Amino acid sequence: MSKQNEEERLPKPFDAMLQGWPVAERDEAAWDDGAEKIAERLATAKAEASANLALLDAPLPAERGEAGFDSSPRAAEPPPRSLAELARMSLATQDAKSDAADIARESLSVASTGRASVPMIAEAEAAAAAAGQSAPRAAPPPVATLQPLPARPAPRSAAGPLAMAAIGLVGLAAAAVIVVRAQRANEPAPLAAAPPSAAPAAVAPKPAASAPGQEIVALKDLAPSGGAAAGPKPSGEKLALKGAEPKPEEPSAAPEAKPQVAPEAVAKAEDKKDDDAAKMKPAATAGELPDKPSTGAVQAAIGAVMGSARACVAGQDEDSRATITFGSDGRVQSVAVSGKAAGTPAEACIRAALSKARVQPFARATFSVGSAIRP
Amino acid sequence: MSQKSDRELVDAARKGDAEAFGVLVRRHQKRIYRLAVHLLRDAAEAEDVTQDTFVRAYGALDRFDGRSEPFTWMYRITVNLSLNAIRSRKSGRKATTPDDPRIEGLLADRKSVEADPARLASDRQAALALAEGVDQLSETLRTTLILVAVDGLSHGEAAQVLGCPEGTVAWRVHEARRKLRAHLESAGYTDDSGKS
Repeated sequence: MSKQNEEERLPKPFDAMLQGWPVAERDEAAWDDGAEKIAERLATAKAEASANLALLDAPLPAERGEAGFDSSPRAAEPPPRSLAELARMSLATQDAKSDAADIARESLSVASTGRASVPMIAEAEAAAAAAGQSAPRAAPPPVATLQPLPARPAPRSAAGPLAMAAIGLVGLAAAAVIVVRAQRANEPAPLAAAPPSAAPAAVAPKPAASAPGQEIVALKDLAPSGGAAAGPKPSGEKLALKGAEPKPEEPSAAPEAKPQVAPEAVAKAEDKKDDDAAKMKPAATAGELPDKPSTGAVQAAIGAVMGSARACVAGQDEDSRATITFGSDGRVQSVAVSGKAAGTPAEACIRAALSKARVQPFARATFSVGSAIRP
Repeated sequence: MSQKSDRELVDAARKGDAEAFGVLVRRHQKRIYRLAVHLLRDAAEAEDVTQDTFVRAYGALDRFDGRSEPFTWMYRITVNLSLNAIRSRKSGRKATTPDDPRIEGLLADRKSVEADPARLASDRQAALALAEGVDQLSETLRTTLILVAVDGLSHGEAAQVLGCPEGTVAWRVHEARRKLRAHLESAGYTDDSGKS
């Protein structure tokens, strides 16, 4: 202390205050009391074990700047490490046959491939190597360690098999729907009228609870129940048609950019849509035919072909109107066009387009609905 | 019994002589309490740490290897317990408060020789500045400074407590005093003139 230099010499009163700095005095009784408390605790001290051996260790870390302390900023905090460096460290410390070592090798292989695939990085590394400079990061390990790894068994976890099972069930349900639709396309009679044995085997299993709603409904509706003709379930119909519901008509979405489409082309383009829409509709038996097609079904049917009809009047500045008459079989019997398109080539185009609309069979002889056709 | 050295008392306590350890307690509890107060800045916590120090030391007597003095061995336990207590506080106590037991200790010492209220107020300001300067040091520098400058341990004894070379203790004390001086100068206290 006598050799303290000018730099560390404190102002006079503070040196005196610091040396022997007292704390608030306690009377002797307080010390006696403290000693007694300690003696009481000592009786159980062995039981307490006081086995916290860390208390006997050196208490403090090295201070920045003192001998043995690396004061460089990189040493003060853990240096940022790339994944490749971590993988190399792992390889250096792990058992070469352990899973962690395998993962490390795999990571290095991916990193090496990735770096080589980016021209900028590859060129920079090549330039550094040519200049004899060390790469900014640690040199990659020998090529031998970057050999592609043999296929490793998938890690066993509880989530993996469950996810795979869920995906499998969804796929199974989708496959069943596709099969059933294909069969319905080749089989004009309502599927519900077929004997139960005619149902595809893939339909028999209960659909997965997590399958998309529409597919589930389709499976339920298509599956025979007790050999009796299964009528369409209202909820099933609603859901089945949900996917085909048209968007609200948007006047601003007039297809100015669309070229004038010939009726034949429109008809061809709509064939597939119509078939799909027909497949989506639930089967119905003659005894359970609705009096008329539901509003939703009609809107869906017209909406499916309205795009083609609107293409027929593209470029016109006024709306046209069409009255569509459905027969009891659900097909369009006639289309009456009025307005700007009437009497023009667009009328035939509109008729051809709207004639492709289909609804489910109904009891009435005909059912007509009007619709505006906006350019 | 009270004439025995610390080592003799430790040896006796190891053999089951509780009274011998009681003598050690009475001999060193004031020093350990004072060290704990300076480290913790809280009298109640310091008392708890003082008790814990002796209890832990008694429980670990078998691990005392005799390479250091018993009191430096107990000091190490005190420092560790105090640092643990500081780190386990829910709120970090950074500011130096006027009711700091260290301030009261300094002022009580001054009151006995100074009756001028203005001078006492000035002393209080100086004590606060000193305490703030010490508290702004890192744990390492602060603990080393307290052991050497406040408690009066030699560098060798402090090195035993802290488990580091004497040269390291010397460097830490130098660094702590340099920073403390800079703090006091920034607070307006310069050289021998006291408050500028």
